[in-house]
Amino acid sequence: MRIKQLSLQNFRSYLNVTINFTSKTTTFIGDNGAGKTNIVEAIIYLAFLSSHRVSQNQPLILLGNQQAIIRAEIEKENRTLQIDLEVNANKANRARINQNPTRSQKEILGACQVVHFSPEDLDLVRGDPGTRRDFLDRLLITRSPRLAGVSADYERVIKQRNVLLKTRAAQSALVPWNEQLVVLASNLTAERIALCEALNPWATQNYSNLNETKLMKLDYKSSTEGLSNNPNLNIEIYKKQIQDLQYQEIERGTTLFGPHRDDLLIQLGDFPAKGYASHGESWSVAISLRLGAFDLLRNEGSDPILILDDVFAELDTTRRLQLMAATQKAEQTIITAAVEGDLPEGLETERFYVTPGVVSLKKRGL
Amino acid sequence: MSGMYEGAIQDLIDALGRLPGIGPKSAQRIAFHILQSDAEIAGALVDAIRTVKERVKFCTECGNVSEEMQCRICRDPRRENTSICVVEESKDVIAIERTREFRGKYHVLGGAISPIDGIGPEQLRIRELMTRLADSSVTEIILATDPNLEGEATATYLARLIKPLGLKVSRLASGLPVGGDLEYADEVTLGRAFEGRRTVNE
Repeated sequence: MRIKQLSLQNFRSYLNVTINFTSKTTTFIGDNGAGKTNIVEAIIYLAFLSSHRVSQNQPLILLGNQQAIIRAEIEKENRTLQIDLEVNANKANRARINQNPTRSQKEILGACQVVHFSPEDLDLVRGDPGTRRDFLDRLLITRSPRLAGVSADYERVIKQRNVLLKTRAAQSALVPWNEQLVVLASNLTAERIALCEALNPWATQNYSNLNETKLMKLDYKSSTEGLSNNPNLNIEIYKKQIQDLQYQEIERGTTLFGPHRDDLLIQLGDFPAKGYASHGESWSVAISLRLGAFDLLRNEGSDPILILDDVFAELDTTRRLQLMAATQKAEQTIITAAVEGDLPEGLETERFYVTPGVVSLKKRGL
Repeated sequence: MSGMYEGAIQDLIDALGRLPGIGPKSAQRIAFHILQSDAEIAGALVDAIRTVKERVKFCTECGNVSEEMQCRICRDPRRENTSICVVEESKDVIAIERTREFRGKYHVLGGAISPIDGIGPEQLRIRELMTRLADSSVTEIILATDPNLEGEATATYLARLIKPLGLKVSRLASGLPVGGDLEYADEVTLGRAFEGRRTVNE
């Protein structure tokens, strides 16, 4: 899969820009704040229908406008697909595929698949469980777009249910939400556990490729005991959990179990990576998670675009080489860097120079 | 965007902009259309709005919009009293009426349960529904709430509430659109259609 052309209108710092990707690897070079990450953010938005930086749409839209447009020509198995996405501030986004309107923007999920690295990936190791859940969920959506709906519905049910718990509503008012909660939670948990099982060998392999000696292992840590990758079995477990927690939940006024309280446990040897891993080890773990995801997707027959957003400056030679090896496998790699010298030696790439609002093939002033 | 025109025209744009589905640009277009059209046409619009607020009430029995105490459907002696179809809004009544498949009566809830929006069973016309069900002639309830999270929750709530009365309760099927292609159905719809499949060789 590759992006042939990307056009942005009123997106972040760009009033209007069109970028033609002609090479296997494309690099955007520019000072901090020039707008490099805005370009990859647009591609990431197409892939997940949400930004990796903000949860609202308004910051994505150029100041003073209500709408941004992301347009991409994507080549997949020798066929070209044109995706148009209107990102709206105050109403639902609208998408078109090959000029044809879609009923829901979710229909474009799967058209553009990406695996992206960014300096914030360190949070996958050190950050809150939410960062790791988000990592899993985004990978789930890439593998199976249907789950975007399951995850969104789940979050909404939790919100509705929490309002009831907070206002100490009667048990009979909770029942209709409990039924939907159990089904959605069972589904989402089963999918996440199955994903962890599938991802684990690939992450472990990548970690050892980085000359690390410890054994990296992934485990899905749920707030509920005994869950598995079988949604039907999970339903019974969650039903019992609702019963057991009934009084505690009313007392605390919030939902006390479910995939929104789970975590991805990363073990290094006998210790959890969080709290124990050194700075270097943390980077190795983060890279192994992303490269593991990349290898898993490729092994399952997809061909995701690899995005390396401002990461080379952070990494030593071994880790750079590991990422370089991945770029050889990818059909398309998109890189951003603040300084040209940070790019690994021998990297064959077309170069774009980014200044605020402008993307150019020439360096400014030359 | 706001405050670009003075006085009356801006008031009109603001008032139109508060209507559902009308953004600032559409509001501006409609306002200027009204300004440029004949006084008669504008007057008719004003009258229509005033009349609708004066005359239209809600049916005391089913909650549907009506110009009299009872709506057209509740007054119609040919409609069966044995079944009630429960819907969220009056516009859902019209949608089902267009099918001409249903000969019973309706009950309009006035929305769906949504705690986030402060809408619980008490805010809907559920007590009125239970009063109607106490009337022994009703034998079947059809729950026709929207097939989304809130609609499903409302249907589940009603199903449990009605259960002790021993009535037949059914829920509208959700699944594939008629005349559509299987390949174009999204996974959720197709999954639901699979769940609700029926046997054909019995």
